[in-house]
This record gives sequence, structure tokens and C-alpha cells, in this order.
Amino acid sequence: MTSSFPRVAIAGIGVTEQRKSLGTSTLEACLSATKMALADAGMSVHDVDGVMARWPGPGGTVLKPGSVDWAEMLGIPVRWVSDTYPQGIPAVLEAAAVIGAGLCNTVLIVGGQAGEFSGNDVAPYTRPENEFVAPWGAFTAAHFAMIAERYLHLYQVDWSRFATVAATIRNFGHLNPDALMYGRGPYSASDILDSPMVASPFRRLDLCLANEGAAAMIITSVERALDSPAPVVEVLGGGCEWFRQQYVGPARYEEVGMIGEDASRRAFSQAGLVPSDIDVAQLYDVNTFEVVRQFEALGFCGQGEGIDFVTSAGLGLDGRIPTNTDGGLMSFSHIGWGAPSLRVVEAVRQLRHAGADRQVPGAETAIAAGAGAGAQYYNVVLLGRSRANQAQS
Amino acid sequence: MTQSPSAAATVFSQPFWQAASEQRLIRPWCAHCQISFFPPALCCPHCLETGWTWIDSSGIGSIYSFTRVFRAPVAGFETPYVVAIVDLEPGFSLITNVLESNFDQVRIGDEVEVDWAGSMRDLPVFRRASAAGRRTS
Ligand SMILES: [Zn+2]
Repeated sequence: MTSSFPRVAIAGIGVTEQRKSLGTSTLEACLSATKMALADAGMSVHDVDGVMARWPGPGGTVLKPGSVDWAEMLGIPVRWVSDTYPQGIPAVLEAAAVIGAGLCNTVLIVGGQAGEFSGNDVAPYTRPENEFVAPWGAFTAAHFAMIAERYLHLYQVDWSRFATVAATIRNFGHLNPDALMYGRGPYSASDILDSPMVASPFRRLDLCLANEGAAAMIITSVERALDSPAPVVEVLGGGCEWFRQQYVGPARYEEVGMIGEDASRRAFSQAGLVPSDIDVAQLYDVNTFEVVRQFEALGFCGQGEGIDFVTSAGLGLDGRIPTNTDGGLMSFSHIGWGAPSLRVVEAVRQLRHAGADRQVPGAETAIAAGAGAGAQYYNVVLLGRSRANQAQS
Repeated sequence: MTQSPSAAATVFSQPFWQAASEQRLIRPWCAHCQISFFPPALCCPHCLETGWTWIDSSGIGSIYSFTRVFRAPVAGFETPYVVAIVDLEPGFSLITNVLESNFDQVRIGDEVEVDWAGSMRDLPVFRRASAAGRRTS
């Protein structure tokens, strides 16, 4: 089967230091990530003619979202600008679409956060001020918790079995010198189950971080990417689903529990792959439950069978499907609107075989995902180490 | 929970909060579709008609799902507290609180009835029907 998906590649990746507090602005962190991604791609800013980013200010226009302010600051004319919802996978897929349509050639995706919230508060984006949510003390983790509680009620699964998932992902972060939680483990399942309860069934170590940093990617045609120094990583397919605006109406398991199923079916079909072909997964681990749910929605196992699947398959480096090899959102970093790009970046590292100690040997295909059931939207991308690499060498 | 941060009402939700200040729970109702929807919006999401109205809710529902919150997102909430999704009439569900001194007894499927709480404005919250029954007996 010949795929109609555009032949594009992730030619550059750039990730700043990820810290609780960076001591800089969002704009400056994003600029740093941009420069790193361009250098990684072996490109100059003048090669960029598309920008997918949110303008954080200071300065620039009052006409939101102000993505074109990036062109102004970077001193380049552009052929396409967009503020995608959110950064990360929807941006990669939009870049593929516009490059494939010939609307532009090379897209910069950048996002992150710095200097926006203090260390101890819950990040602003996790507590939306909606009139039918905020007054009752609901927040992101609570929405996801109610999805998880409903799932546990329906499938009668023992929650303590989920702790291994958090321990495995956190142990990746424990070994990753760039992770916020580097050296903070190793973790056992009982460490997860002994951590303080936040919103049942989630304990502190079931939940992701909220911190500062930025990430950038350069997307271009496979042909152009062959000029970049690193092995070419191709976008093989993808898909997105938005059921409702996040954190306004109640998120109900029966409505959104399998969100991502449709998107991933389309992605696998475009790529000509099936879940068992995937060598490494970079899922959106906002909490332990979501990792398990995503394996169900992505078609790795049946609905309600997620914990059996991850337990028998194994998510560690020696497992069948190594997952969130940088430590994920739980242990590596979660930078708000920029966080989804981090999952893609780690997938690219693995497919370049640049994963150092955490490299999945011989990884050829990866899946990366963003958002989750509690947020009522989801997105997925399939990536592959390009055959063009061999043709070239 | 006690203190409740206010979030601005919209032109669509003002009647809901006005009724709440009289401790009446009301819901959007589309006569065309014979169903409720929530949150209130310009049009019914089933038929896109803008001519929907507000009618009373029975205030009796059941717990669809819930979570026990031990760490509040902002200052002003007394922990622990229960955040729940309560299903009322078809199409009408609320994110709310279940007030229950014995936390561990809350279950999915429990029947609940509306009560009113909140220090900054009247908020619909819920109590388990069995708990209410015990109080009066
Ligand atoms: Zn209607």
C-alpha cells in the first residue's frame, strides 16, 4: 500500500535545560531552543519559511495569537504561520500537511514556559477558571482522576497494579542526567503507593511534573532533511481527535475513555504499520492511568486489558515496548504548552540511535502521543528511521 | 471545602447563578429535542436552536464518578473534599462536591440530592440520599 502521507522529516530538535525554575523568560527559553534545533538540523534561520508557535511576548502585536511575531523577531519573511492546539504532534502534522501542499518548505515548531509560575503553586493551565469547574475545587488531576475511578469501577481492576508503570517511567528519569528527577530514585512500586494522595486514585508519584523549559523542532521534506547531519527521522502518519474543550464539561469515561482509537487507526493505516511493529513508545504520561489507557486506545490491547498488557509486555528497556525512555512528563519534564514536543523529541533521539544509556537497540519505529482522556482530546504520530539514510550512506 | 474562587458568569449562565442565589437548581432545556444540555451556550448542541429555555431540575441524581482531593489546586479549599460528576436529568450533569463526613462511604452510583454551600456565592453541592435519610431519622 502506498501512503498518501507527505514525505516529511523531523530534521532538527532542540531542548533547553529543563528546570523547576529557569531564571529566564518564556521568550528567551524558546529562542534558545530554536537556535539549538536549527544547529541540530544544520540550518540557518533563513531556511525557515513557516512558524508554528505561540507568541509569549513581551513585545509584539496585540493581535493574538501573534505567531507571526516570531517572523518579526527572527528577521525572516514566512509563508505560513499557525498557533496549533497545542504544540507538539498537531504542529508536526500541520507542518507535514502544509509542506506536502507546497505552502512552505521548512517549519519551526517551538514552545515552552519560563518565569510564569512559582515553584509551589499548581501551574496556571492546570486550574482553568471556568465558572462550572473552579468553584468546586476541580483541576486537571481531578478530571483525570474521575476518569480513572470510573474505569476502575467498570473493569474492577486492582489499582495497586498500576504503580509499576509509574516506577518504570520514573526509573528512566532517575538515570537521565537531563531529567528534573535525575538521581531521585530508583523507585519501586511501593514507593509510588507510599507517596501522599493528591486526588484519588492518584498519589503524588502518579502525577506529572510542572516546570520550566522550552523545546523546538524543525520539520522539512525528507529530501531536504538528507542534508542535515543526523540520521533522517520520517513522519509516517498521524491523527488528532478533539471531543470537547478541555476542563469545561465533565469528562466521562464512556465518551472519551477510548479517545485516540480513531486517530491511531488512521495513523497506523497511513504508515502501513500495526501496533506490534512499534519499537518504542513516547506516551503522554500526565498520570499513571493515562499510560495504561493509551495502550488500549492505540490498539496495543483491548479495552480494559491495559494493565494486563503492560504487565506482561514490560515498559522498561528490557521490555517489549520501552516507554517514555527519557523519564516522561513524570520525571523528565512537563513544560505546559511546549511539553507535547518533548515526547516527539525523545522519539526522534531513539530513532537516531542517539539515546545513549537509554537507547532501545535498533529502534526503527516509534509512536508519540499527546493529551489524554481527562482533557477530552488526543493526538498521535508515528515516526520511522528513514530508509533514505541507507540509500545515502 | 469552603472558599470558592469565582469565575465569571457569561450571558448564557447568568440565570443559573441567579436561580442558585435563591437556592434553586435549574437546567437548560430544549423543547425541540426534549433534552437538557450543559453548560449553557448560545444554542442546543443537538439541533442548534437558540430558543431553549431554563427549567427546574429535580436536584436528585447519582454519582457518575468522583475523586477524593487531598491537595487543593489553590488556597481556600479545606482538604480533603470530594469532587464528583453528578448525573441529574438526561443531558444535565454537574461537576460538583459531595459533602460527606465519612469519606470512605462515597461510591459511584450513590443517589444524591442537592444542597447549597459556598461562602462567596450559593453553589449547588450534593449529599448522599442515605446520609440525608439518616440525619432526619
Ligand atoms: Zn435541541
